[in-house]
Amino acid sequence: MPLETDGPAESVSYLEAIAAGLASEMEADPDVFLIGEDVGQFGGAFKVTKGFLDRFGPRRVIDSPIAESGFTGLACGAALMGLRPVVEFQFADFISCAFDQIINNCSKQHYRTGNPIPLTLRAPFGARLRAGPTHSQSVEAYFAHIPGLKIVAPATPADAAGLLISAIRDNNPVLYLESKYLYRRIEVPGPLSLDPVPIGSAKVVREGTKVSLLTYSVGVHQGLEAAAELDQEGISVEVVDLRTLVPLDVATITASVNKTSRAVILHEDARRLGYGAEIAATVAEECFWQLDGPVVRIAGKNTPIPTSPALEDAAVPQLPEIISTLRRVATT
Amino acid sequence: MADVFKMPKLGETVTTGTVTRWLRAVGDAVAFDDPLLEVATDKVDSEIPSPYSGVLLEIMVPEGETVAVGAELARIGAPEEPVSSALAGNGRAKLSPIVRKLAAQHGIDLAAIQGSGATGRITREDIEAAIVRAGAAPATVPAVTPAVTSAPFVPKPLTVTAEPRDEVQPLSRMRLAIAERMTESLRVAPHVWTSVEVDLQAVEEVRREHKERFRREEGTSLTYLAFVARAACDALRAFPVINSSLDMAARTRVLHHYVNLGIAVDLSEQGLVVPVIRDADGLNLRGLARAIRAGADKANAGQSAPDDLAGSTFTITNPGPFGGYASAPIINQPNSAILSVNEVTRRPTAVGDAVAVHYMTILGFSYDHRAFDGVTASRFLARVRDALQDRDWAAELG
Repeated sequence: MPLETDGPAESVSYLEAIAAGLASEMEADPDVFLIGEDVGQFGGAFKVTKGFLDRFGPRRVIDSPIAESGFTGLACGAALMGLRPVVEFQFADFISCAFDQIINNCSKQHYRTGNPIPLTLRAPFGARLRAGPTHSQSVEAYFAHIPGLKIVAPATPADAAGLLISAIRDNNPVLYLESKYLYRRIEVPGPLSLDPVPIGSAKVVREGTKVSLLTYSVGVHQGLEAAAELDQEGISVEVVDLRTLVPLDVATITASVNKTSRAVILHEDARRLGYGAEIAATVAEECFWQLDGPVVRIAGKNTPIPTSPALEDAAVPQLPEIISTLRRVATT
Repeated sequence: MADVFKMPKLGETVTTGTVTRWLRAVGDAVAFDDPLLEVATDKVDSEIPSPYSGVLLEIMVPEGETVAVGAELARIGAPEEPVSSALAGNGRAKLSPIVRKLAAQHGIDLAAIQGSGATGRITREDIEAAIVRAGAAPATVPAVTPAVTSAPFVPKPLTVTAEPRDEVQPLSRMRLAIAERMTESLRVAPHVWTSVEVDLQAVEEVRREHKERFRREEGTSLTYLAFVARAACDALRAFPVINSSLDMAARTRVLHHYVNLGIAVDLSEQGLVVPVIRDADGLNLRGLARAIRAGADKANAGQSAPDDLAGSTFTITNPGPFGGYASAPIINQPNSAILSVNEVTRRPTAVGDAVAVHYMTILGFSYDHRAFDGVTASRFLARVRDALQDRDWAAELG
């Protein structure tokens, strides 16, 4: 039961950590409320908010009609009036229905008026769940382009809770990208820390000397696995979990790349104009004279996510490609 | 076996060429006659076709480098031959930014390092190891070689600060070539300027009488320049030292018993080239007018070949059509002198005891005082002047 992670627990999953972070902020601040499709009675499409309706009541856990533009606009207005809404999209794929509210209303208000707009947009994103092209997308690249919007993408339970707490407390709209693939796959021993994790800070999750792997979300776990494998060959990989995509923690990235002189970027989103392009350009600008080779991207194919399991596996980065790419960059 | 492609001789008088652009990269397949690279001589660009078929195995002269005719440019051979390793003899290699930086900071000789990268490339770790081997020496500045007396004079670079309103323009290669050659000429040759006033009334009358027919027959106008060129060629025959080139290293001068006449041509104010009329002293007025026009047309069309612009023994520059009372040009090395034709205007002049209004000009003359002295210069100018004023030019036009 997600809500029972407040006390000591055997282990905490990524999904439970999100629920714990959310519950803790709702306990702490009566202005925080939840809105989205099926977040109440059904407990959320992925059961993140199971039990929330009973615990916080229907005024704070609101089941909305199937109308993303409507409830996102409502949340935007509520945030302007001083509340701290948390909007859940069932799948990040559906967020494009609310594009206008996010782009033209949410992301511009604070800048235009000086009034805070403390809005959190929770979007379960990514592939690998055999959900097909319209339920598997990564949406970070197009929102990262929009000034006025912060974007976080936690990879671990601690960051999932800590970044959600920071997002809710932030006076700007924050797009919170939660990996539905990691929901029940990642578990860590409890108890879970509910300390906020600052937005805009990356974390070196494994130190290394030969090559820096810059990644986020699912890529962090793949990267750690690849690094462990390559360690057997004597290739030392440093894994940097970006955690926040906007604003990007350039200092942590450059410190790592300046140390290793080699950078590989990994994400699941399509390669073309994916967020890796921004990271690669930043590395080229900031670290050029420290580089010992070209910056390399590992990313999804420039194709919709296929429904066929075999094709889906081929469309998104897998461990063998990550290992061979890191090996090549480290030894060429 | 790979074929070695050498810098071709792009003209009889051309001794060096600058590789401006490689049109193929190492590893590319190249067929016989495929454009391979662009080479620039002083003022002319040429696209050089490959004389061999195969794979471009190695580029031995990087872009921007000037080498002598016959220097090895590239190796072209069968594809299975190994492509040159990271450090292919001439020090050009696939070096990453960090390797370049560390090598420069620590004065490391890259040629001495065995690369450990998969392709033999020198990696950051290789150079760090080399730095440690070198005794962890702090960053060293390469030893400064003491200036030798024969070292060329290098002007101290002037720093120019661009204000926000200013525009910074890169210089064209032609501009740079002109800058270098003009500076060099002034450096080596002590220039003396002298001039003579010439009454062109007789020339003007002949011009006026023949210009319609001349234009009909030749398709070009009968310019003052052609008359001056003709008079100068004749005078040069009488003063061989003016039509000569000095070789101070050999302590000799080369007397040219022919006149290869350079005529400066302005390229719409974007630069200046000097097409050369070979054996100009063998041409009459009509022949010179044709040759001047042909050279200028070719230059303006950007079609001058290196040989068209080389080998002058004497040069005339003609700022006259653009105005200017008198001018003091810089000698076109290795000539010993240069003549300038200035604006022709109607001015009062003494004719006998009367004052007449005649077509007049000033011929300017810059000469290398190492080659000859003022008396020679003055006598030469007087001879040119007298020819222009007194010759029966109508007879020459027939």
